[in-house]
Amino acid sequence: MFSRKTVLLVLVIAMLAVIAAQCGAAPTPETITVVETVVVEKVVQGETITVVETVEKEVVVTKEVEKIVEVNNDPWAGKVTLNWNLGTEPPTLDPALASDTTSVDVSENIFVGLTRTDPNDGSVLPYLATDWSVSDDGLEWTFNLRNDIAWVKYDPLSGEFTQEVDADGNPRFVNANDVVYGAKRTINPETASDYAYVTYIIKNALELNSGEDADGNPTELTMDDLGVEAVDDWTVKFTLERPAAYFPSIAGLWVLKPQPQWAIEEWGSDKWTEAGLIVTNGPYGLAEWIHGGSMKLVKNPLFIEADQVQIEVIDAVMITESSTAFALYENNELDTAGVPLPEVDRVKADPVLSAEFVNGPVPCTYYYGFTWTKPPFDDVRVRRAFSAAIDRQSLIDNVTKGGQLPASTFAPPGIFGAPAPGTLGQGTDVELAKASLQDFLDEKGMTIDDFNSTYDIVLGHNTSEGHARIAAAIQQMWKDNLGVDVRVENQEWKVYLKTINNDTPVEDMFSIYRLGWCADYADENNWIHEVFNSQEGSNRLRRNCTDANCSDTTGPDKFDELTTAAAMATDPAERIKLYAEAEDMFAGEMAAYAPIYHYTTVRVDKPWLTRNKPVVGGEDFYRWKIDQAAKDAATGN
Amino acid sequence: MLSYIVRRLLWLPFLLAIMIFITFWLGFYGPGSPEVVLLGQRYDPETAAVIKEQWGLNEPFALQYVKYVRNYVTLNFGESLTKYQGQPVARLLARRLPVTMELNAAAIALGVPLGIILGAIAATYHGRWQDRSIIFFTVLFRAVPSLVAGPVLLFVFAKQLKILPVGGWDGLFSASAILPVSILASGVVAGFARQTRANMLDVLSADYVRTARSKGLSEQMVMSRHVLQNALIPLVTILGLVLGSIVEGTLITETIFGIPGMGQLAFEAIGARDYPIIIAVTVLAAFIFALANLWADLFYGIIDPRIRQS
Repeated sequence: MFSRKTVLLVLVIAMLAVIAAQCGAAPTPETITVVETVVVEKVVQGETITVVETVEKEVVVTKEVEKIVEVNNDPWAGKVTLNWNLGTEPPTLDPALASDTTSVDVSENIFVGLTRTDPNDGSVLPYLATDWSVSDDGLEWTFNLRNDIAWVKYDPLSGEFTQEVDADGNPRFVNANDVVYGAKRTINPETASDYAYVTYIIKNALELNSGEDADGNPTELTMDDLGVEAVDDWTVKFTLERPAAYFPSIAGLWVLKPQPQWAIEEWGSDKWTEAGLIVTNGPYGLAEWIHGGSMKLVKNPLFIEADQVQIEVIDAVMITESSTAFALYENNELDTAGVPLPEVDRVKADPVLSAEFVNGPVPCTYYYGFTWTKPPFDDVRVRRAFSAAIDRQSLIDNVTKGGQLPASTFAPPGIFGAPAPGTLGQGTDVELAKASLQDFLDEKGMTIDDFNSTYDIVLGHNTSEGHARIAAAIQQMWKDNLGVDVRVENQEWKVYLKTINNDTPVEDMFSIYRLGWCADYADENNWIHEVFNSQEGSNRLRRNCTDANCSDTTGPDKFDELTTAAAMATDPAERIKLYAEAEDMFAGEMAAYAPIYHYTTVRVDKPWLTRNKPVVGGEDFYRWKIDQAAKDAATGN
Repeated sequence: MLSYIVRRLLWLPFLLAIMIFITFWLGFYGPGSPEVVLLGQRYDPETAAVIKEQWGLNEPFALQYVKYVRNYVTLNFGESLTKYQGQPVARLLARRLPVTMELNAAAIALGVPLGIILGAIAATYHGRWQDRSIIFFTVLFRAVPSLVAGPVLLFVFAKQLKILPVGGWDGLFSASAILPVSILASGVVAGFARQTRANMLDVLSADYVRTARSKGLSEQMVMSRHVLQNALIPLVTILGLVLGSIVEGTLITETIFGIPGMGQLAFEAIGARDYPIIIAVTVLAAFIFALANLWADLFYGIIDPRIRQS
């Protein structure tokens, strides 16, 4: 009699997570032993583990009552929740170490930066820094900080945030020293931050991070020589290597976010980011991290803008397979998801899904570069003909099919200073292409057959089915529109990267090479200047070279001067103007390369979700909104 | 017998060293490499050379291989290079292994008895519709890879019927485990059903079964005491093989359903050319596989006196 009841109890408790206290043979009191199985989550050294504990209890039962108490095993129920797919386990939450989108997405929402960018146009907005100023020589940047952003820790057991206190018991607010510590830790080579290179504009950052001076000798500098200092608790000053008007955009990147020295030193670099240990200062805190499985972020009520943060819980899964994630979306288990390419046609045809379909920007551009020291691409008319003859829209409609944006300039929308696609530079213009090539042929006294027999034009791409299909389509467009024969060759990525380097002998170099570029930070400087300036960067186009193998350059041309000037100009309007001029000249007048398309992601958003898609710096969940009533109605909760 | 076990165990380290060699060799000469993955668009040969130097990837093949083996001897599995940069591989595996073990244990616990029962039924009704339909389904289960079965079942049960969750992992005793466990178990069921049926048909035509029948034993007695028992012996060996195929199935199943196990980890590591993880997972799989085989051989000897004596 007893045992059966006990078993029943255990079953009820274990399976329904219900605590039941009950029973006995009616009037006479008796004592029974109830075995309760309780599943608890404990944080042991930062690892959340699930423990099944068996507790024996003596219960005196006087009458038969059935009392079922719902245990609140889902503290997240009833909150405004975003169901999100991280896609993979975030390799790290440490802002110093993050270099992949998943890690950055999370860190963006749990840590504040000095600045943040407007998700629409890439312009820089205040965040931890209320305002900033630059010295007349453009080298010293002073940021004034607000003094009310609390360092907090979330306790997974109590479900509450508490503000951190220092050794004297004073509450900790994010201050200038945290910023300085963060910058030094990121740049310190011992931290091994992959993304430290974006900070190299800071004085001595390159030398300290690489450990070598300009001559390749071991550096004699110490971290104190880094160009960052706390002027007082609420003022931080950066000194740069050279003037850089885009620095506020870099200052907001995750690698320069303030970091909690005491927590990192207490738990060590690889442990401090675990749930229950991590100290954060952003709109959300880390509530739960089941490695490889799921992650929960909860709204930080102590955050300065807590009243504007509408979504209370981010419930994130880590589904790698995109078709599985898409199925979750269709089942209302995700609020937004990428559309796998094979599903695009179905989504567009479906009356419901097509309304939820969004073409979001990705800060990447696909382009073909011309080797300037390899005839006939030393002639601007040939380059222009090859660029203008590419029917970008047809390529997108028939080959890539991902709704990409046809490109006529380099930097994509969302990057500060980027021109609207199709307005400047060189887009598709078949008539111009024909005329341009004819002009070249006439001057050389060649026919198209002479052209084809004289020049062995090779288009190179790294081995991939997608690149091969694009190359074949463009090869055909060149044949159809210009009559030129182009061979296509592919190489494995590592070999390919070596080939397109500008120290490869020109005879081994392709005439035309494929590449893509993605943003490191949301400023044109990262694009037109860092990729194409012939004096800085890789100069794969081999512009302004003294010889075909580009052993040296003849110095900057007008384009190089434009992008350098734009990097130094302090007035944002002036910079936009300079970049527009540089972009237009480079793709248009100079036809230096052929912009092809700007990448996009095709995704679906549930109608109850209002969101942004910042192109750089991670998803800004704290700006998103969810109409929870509509979501509940649709999901039947 | 003991010397046999010792001999087999002594072989194990060599076997694992060979496994490391093959995995390492494929990675070394195969396309892609970790420094390329890590540098992405910032790749330039100088930086790549520095990183390769740091990781010891520019050392000769033989030296790198010897280092790996030496580290494994001291149970040092290294650190992740690209995907989970700097994190010890041992810790990554320790987090993932329990999930994969649960998944496989459930698949075996479910698949083996079910397979034997179905196989026995098929043999009992040899040539009739029960037999034919069981054979049809086991061939189907065996032939359809989890790469296909996964999405198909997802489509039917999660998307159309909406009775099971699409993905994720809430532990073995949750609805999220039903589909992945079923897929892994289906292969086990198929293997065991076919083998049981074949063995039983073999045994049914054996002399001692005819003798048992002629002694006047009831059909039930013949089946349970003589046929089934003898037919089960060879099954022990195929358990080892089946284990191998679930290890392979786990890789795909975990990735499709988003289960945080070793298979998913391996899948991610392969994409990122994260050699230390790939090698560790391979070696671990080989180790389990080798042990399972050893166990099968030993157990075979224990339950079948004919083998023990020879």
